[in-house]
Amino acid sequence: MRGKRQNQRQDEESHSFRNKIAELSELPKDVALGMPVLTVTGQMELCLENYRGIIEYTDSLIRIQTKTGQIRITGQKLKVVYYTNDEMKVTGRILSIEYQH
Amino acid sequence: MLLKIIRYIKGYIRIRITGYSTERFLNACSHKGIILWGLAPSGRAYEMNISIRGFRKLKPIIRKTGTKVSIVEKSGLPFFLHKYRKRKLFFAGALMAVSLVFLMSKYIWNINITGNLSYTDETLIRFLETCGVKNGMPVSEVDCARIVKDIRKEYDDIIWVSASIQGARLIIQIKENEDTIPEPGTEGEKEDSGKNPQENSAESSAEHPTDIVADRDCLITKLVPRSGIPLVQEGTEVKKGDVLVSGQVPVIDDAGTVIAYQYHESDADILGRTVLNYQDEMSLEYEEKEYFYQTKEQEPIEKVEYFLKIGKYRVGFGSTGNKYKDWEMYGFERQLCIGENFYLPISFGKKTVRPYRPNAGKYTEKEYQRMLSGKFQRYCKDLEKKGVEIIENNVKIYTGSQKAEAKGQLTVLMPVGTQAESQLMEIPVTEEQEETGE
Repeated sequence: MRGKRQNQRQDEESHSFRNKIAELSELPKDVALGMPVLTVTGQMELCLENYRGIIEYTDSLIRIQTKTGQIRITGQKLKVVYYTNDEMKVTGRILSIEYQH
Repeated sequence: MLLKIIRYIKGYIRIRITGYSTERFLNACSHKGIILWGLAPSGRAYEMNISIRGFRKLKPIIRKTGTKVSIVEKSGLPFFLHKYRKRKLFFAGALMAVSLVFLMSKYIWNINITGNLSYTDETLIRFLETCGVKNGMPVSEVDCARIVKDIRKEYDDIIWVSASIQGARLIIQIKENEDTIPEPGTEGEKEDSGKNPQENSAESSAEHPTDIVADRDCLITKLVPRSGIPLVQEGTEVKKGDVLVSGQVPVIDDAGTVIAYQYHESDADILGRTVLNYQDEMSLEYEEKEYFYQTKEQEPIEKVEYFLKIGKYRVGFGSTGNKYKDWEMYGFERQLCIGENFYLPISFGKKTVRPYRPNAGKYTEKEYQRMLSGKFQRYCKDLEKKGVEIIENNVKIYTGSQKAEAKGQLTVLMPVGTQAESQLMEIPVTEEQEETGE
């Protein structure tokens, strides 16, 4: 239990350290830290970059693994228009976007 | 749209993935750089599109993830061609179409002429044909520089020509000389000089002086010379052929003898009073056509023939043969044309024959008077347009038993004189007499 908390702190520290470097070097965060970039157009279109992979995909739920955690997209009639190594596009009626760590 | 076309040409497959860890399959695909699109879950399985090249790389992924792949649909050009590979004529046709387009583009399909104001397209195209330039000739044989030279040589008042080839079009641009518009009085002369271009050009005018010669008997009422020496005065009666203005201006020395002549193209405004005869007659009887009508409707009885002409051969549908004694025929013929002026030797048309019964009719007094005076008024208007002023008019209508006649004389003031080449006077001493004699 103690070890885990320590580990988490270390992780946060390193995270903030890298964050500082990223800020100093004036690089965009998505490049420097590998953060996911979400571009949402209204409620019907979602463009996602910098992810690791799909964990689950049905027409009402898509779970995506990113470097910082999972992203849950719920909606209706969700459809992946294209899926490549660095970008994916989801269309349908998007109801929620959640972040899980 | 472009992406869709590229995908169609390259070909793609719609596959269905079933198995335990289908998401893993997706991630593996993206990791290997295989592009997937149109993903749609259907129950426990996924359907998606994948390129042919991507599909070939799938095998290790399938083995690793333990999924099953089944092909739902194949679409795109490679599959289309493969499906119809046995239809040899189809491919032959496609190949022929391409080669025909290629071959056809080696010939001139259209001659486009722009900038021509006084010459019609037809005139110029007919002239080009005499030089061997016509629709349907090979592009490689067109010599633009030669066309330009030929046109410049043939037409004097075309001052600039450009010929160029754009694809299968021959484009000829022309600039006409708009500055020197011939005067109404000298129009006839201009046409004459068109045949003899040297005569009219400015450089040679010094060597070929021109006189103004009376073109009819008249009494000169006004004479304003611009260049040349007037030989008559206002109030002189002249006969046809008399020289009114001479283009040879004598140079006189101190002793009063002529030592040389300056040559000019003479130019003057000359008005003369003269009498014009007017006569116009018309028959009082005319033929009235009575058409035959079908009993019930007001449709006239007529026979129609449609025809198609290809080269020398002619195919007709229907016939215009009939038993009536008198009939009139009218129709039209249209020639097929590609673009603006590439006429093919194919034409079609329609001929209609309408029989009638000729009835003799007679004009009433009012009718023939109106017709004759209308014609006379038109004649007067034409005269006025030419700059003729009518002073006196005693044209009257006389009626006979068979015909009516408008007859009389018009006294008018009109421009007189036409240009004519002067006879050169070389020897100064004898010339003086000759000139006064003329």
